[in-house]
Amino acid sequence: MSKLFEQKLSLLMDGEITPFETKRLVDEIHSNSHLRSLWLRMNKHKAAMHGELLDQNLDLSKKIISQINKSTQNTKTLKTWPKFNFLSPTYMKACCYLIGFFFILSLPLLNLPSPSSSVSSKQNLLSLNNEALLLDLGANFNGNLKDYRITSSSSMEANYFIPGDEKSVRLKVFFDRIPEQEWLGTINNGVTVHTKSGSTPLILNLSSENLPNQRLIKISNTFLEKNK
Amino acid sequence: MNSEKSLINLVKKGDKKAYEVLVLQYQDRLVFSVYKFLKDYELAQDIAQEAFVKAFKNIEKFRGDSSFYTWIYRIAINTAKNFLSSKSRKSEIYDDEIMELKLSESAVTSENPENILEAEELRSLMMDAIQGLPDDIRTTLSLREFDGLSYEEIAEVQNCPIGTVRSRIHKGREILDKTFSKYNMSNLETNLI
Repeated sequence: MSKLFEQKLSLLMDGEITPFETKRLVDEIHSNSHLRSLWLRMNKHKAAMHGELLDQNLDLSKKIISQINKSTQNTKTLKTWPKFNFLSPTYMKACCYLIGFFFILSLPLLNLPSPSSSVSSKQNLLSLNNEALLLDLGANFNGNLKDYRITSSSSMEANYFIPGDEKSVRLKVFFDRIPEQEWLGTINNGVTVHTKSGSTPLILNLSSENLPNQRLIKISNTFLEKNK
Repeated sequence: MNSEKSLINLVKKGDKKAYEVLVLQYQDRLVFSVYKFLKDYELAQDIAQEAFVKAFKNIEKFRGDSSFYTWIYRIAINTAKNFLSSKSRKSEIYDDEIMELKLSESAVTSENPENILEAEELRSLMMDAIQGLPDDIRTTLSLREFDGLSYEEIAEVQNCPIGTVRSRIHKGREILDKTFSKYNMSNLETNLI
């Protein structure tokens, strides 16, 4: 078997071997130290024949492979931008989504008479709506609204003070596919938090730095019961 | 059949074992070429090493228009040129005395005859060994090594089956390996004395 591989090394050197055999031979050279050493010597003989051998003991392969391994590990840790093909369907699809998204966002603004007054009046309206919404939510569990903030286009976060416990609770509310100006109207029918299923209201996240989980679950259940 | 192309394809798929096979195949030749350019053996090794690493990283750019050796040779010579130009830029900031010292340290301007002598000695030893081969084996191996004929062409020239060409070339290399192993042993013994 070894003799056969030795003969194949000679063929590999002269480019007279098939791709399939090449792969097999590469694996064999890697795993068989005798074969690797013979491959090294054969190439040294060839270099010597042409007067190109300076050092019989030179072997840079280990250093080179270890350097390659190091640089491969380094590049793996670096995040690179994916190569975009601007004509690819994925890219075009993403562009369409983005254009549609911005178009939908700009629709309410288009209905208002002047840009300056529209923005300020809308902000007032939203601010009022949000506060009213959160006061209503707080009323469901007798919590007093301390402060709140809008965390994204479809979510809000509010901190409540609970008189009985003398502790605060943080409520995160997610609105699924409901425009901001409709939030207040929606809560008249219950809690305006929508789940993926669409119909069942659900508090997605309720957290507190001090309240135990059991208490949080009770509060959560209060919301759910109110909306049944 | 093009084994080199197969090896390159494996490397393009990330097969480092295949790349090691290529490194083992071309390292001596590349170090020699860079050495001829820089006249500094240690530096030639470093540049060749860097060239092999660069080539691996950029293997996707290798289209196979030339041989792998031609491609990596260009990378190595460019790396050597960059090294020399950066070295000369740095040396501009030193005063004359330091610059003189730096230049004498670098073997860029000085020959290192020992290496060339060794290469010549090894070559003549190899030629002697080839002369000692049986006639049919010697002719077949010479047609391959020095005239660059393919196995098929050799079979045509020598009017023999391609299998005979394969076995003759392999046999010739086997004999040369044994001759060289003896030389290495005697060389080692001389060094020990």
